[in-house]
Amino acid sequence: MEMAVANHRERSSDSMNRHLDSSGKYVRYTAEQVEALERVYAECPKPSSLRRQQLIRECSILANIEPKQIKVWFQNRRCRDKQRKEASRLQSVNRKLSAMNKLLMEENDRLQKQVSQLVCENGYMKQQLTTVVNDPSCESVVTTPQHSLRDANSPAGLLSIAEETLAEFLSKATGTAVDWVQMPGMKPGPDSVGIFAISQRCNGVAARACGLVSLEPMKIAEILKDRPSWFRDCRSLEVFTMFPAGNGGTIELVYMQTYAPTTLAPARDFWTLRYTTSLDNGSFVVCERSLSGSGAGPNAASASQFVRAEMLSSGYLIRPCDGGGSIIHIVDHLNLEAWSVPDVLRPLYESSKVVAQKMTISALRYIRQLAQESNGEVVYGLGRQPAVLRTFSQRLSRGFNDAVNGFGDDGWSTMHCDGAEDIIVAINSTKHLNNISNSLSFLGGVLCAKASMLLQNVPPAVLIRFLREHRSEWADFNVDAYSAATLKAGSFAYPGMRPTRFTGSQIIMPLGHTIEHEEMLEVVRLEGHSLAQEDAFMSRDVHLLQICTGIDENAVGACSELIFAPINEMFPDDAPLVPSGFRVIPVDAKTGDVQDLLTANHRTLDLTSSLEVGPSPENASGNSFSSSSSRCILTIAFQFPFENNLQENVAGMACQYVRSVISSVQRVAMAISPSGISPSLGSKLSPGSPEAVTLAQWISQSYSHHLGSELLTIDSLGSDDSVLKLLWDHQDAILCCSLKPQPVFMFANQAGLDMLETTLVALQDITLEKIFDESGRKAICSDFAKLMQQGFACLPSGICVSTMGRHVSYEQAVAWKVFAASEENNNNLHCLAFSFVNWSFV
Amino acid sequence: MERLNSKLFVENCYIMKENERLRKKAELLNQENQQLLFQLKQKLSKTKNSNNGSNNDNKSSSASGQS
Repeated sequence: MEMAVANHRERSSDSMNRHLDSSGKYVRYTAEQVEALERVYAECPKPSSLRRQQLIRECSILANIEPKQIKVWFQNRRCRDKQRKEASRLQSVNRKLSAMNKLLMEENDRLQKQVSQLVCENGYMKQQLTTVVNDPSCESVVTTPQHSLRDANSPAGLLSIAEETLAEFLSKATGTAVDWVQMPGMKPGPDSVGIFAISQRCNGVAARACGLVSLEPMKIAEILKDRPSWFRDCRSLEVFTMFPAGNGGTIELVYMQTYAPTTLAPARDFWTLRYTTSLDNGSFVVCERSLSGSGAGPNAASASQFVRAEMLSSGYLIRPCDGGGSIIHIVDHLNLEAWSVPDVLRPLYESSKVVAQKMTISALRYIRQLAQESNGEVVYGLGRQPAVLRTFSQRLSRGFNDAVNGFGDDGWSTMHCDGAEDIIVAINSTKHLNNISNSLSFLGGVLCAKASMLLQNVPPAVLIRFLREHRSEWADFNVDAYSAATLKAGSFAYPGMRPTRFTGSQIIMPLGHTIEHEEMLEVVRLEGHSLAQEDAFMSRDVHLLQICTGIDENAVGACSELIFAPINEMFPDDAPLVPSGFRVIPVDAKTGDVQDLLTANHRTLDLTSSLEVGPSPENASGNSFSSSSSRCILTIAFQFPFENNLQENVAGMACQYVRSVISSVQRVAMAISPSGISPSLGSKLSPGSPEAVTLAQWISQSYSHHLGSELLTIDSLGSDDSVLKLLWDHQDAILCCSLKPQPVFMFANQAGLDMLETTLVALQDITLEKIFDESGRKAICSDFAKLMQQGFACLPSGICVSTMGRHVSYEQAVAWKVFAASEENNNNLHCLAFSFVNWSFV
Repeated sequence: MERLNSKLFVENCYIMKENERLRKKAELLNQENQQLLFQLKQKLSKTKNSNNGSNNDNKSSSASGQS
């Protein structure tokens, strides 16, 4: 046996030296020959025939080999490389899936135990309730929660708070203390960073993440505790006291300040106890909870700018994973005191999705990023280290947050602009800026004009993407040139505003991006063209360092930002940055009952999903409903460096400029908002909305009209909603696609989404032909005429492909025309519907 | 391997669904648990109230004895 194995192994390793030639015989290569070929392969995996001939000529040891064989060798070599790559990819996917599998099994185990324990407990209590209660042993069952007042000043009191925090955190991280539901729009799969959940009904807002990272637990704990490094909204974190907890753990008292996302409400701060310890099973835990009492921060003046928010037991559980790496559980549970903010903003402070995006998911993403960098898997542009580029992004983001918040202890003071404006103008003297960079000492200071406003019906990602790609639509080149020149002025005399014309050309050069492309760092070059003769040889280009975040439309609750700062063309690592920019934050809709019901039952639904729907009588009433479902807050803050004597001028210019930018952005917003063009086309539609109910009716009515049988079995004379519900829960995959030359999907029921392995949002990027393979497409084509004439077509069993590339077999597919049953026109063709019967993954 | 991976993926999805179901169940049971606890407490305090006089006497006498 042993022998056979060894023998086999030798053969397989030998296979690289032997190749089948055209006549079907093996060609043997010597070790030297292989080495020579490998050397060439390393340089050029696909040499031209010329190169191959040259190789035979130059390399004497290859002289006896036919050119054709050499060609075959390279073909085989490339093939082997490809196979190897594929194998390693599959291996890594497999590792991830296995780890997730293990995790889920454990959770399953825990839940089962919990259920059985609860059943047992409840049974006991029921029994107790029916028996005579005089029995004193009853009292032991009733455990009253202990709310004893502990002294938060004594170590013993703090230790007991720490232990309680730990228990609470663990029950949230791995148990059922919070009613977790899967984060909408984030389907777990081999490519996702982790499993994310949010809470919808707990006290405050909460989010949870679970993921696998190839770093040591200790290292991860260290990174996560350094919150300012990954939590962009963290302004500062200060550890006040630190003492050992006796069991090897440490207790810290922490004061943290966070930035406000808009100019409309004050920022939040936290006074917490943080407990770091390890568990018996080798896991690390960092858990944290707010302490009552004032526990004021550094000084009263600084603290007065904040509203104290509460952190409920939150933290990180990091478990070492066999085979290296760790499994991380993150829980963030906050109460952001939503009552204290204006009504419009309240949903923002009550949204678990926002916390999930800002804290939970970004923590996990950051760790993943560092892990990838340490493995050397990340390639960055222009020869900069990832860490340097990250510092740039952090500084841009921080500078923008500082401008939006304008904290007094940073040196900001509010200054007034003419007239009653929504625009706030604040000014910061140089002294404080000197801390940022010495090269700015010549400046009189920095002035900031900022405002926050509500936008309706504009997808934040689309707006920011537009602003990024079409800078000339809203920006004034001369203002950019002015800011750039003022910052540069340290090295030579202030050049003033030379007559320069913007050529209109904007070049975006990418520097780097995060692993999931949710943040991109880039340099924007605006080509200037000097109008003055003597400057003909001087470059008038303006360079901006820019970050763009959240332009993925499918990220739920994510805010989108475009932040830029003028930078010198060499962009040195310590370049002074005075960032300006936009932030657009989606505001959750107040969901209707139907929506609540549907989202509770089907977590893959997304409230912001939009469908294209033709004119329908319901639209008039539906619009008010759907328009409220898409609102966002735009915050804009522009900073302008100025020289001492120019403060007044710059203030006037800033105000005017920001006002013009705002009106440009509003114009853009109007143009890209779906209802801006035509209220009947592409209006927002969520599965609980009247439009979806109508569509469901049309689908089922058209089906019975064409096929003479019912698609849905409605047992009672149900309401309109129940048709949608029945359709949604139908076991067959029912899909609708548009009638364009290139049909695109617009709706699918749960089975349809499952079959295509997608979400309602992503569905709308999928074309009909994408889901069929070659033969399926042919079948559709041949039956298409029949479908258009007869109104329906039955396709035989076949194979289609999910978005993840998996093959799906179905017993039968029915396609039919869906008519809009409008009163004026009875034959208004609306879309095509497909029903895949008895489908399964192959 | 490909097959194994898709099997794992499906399995994971299945367990996730199962976990969701269990979590729901646990939540319901927990609610029931709280309710039962509340009922038990009520019943207890009722019986306590009925025995109130003698209980109070016992407690106060033992307390004064300790001090």
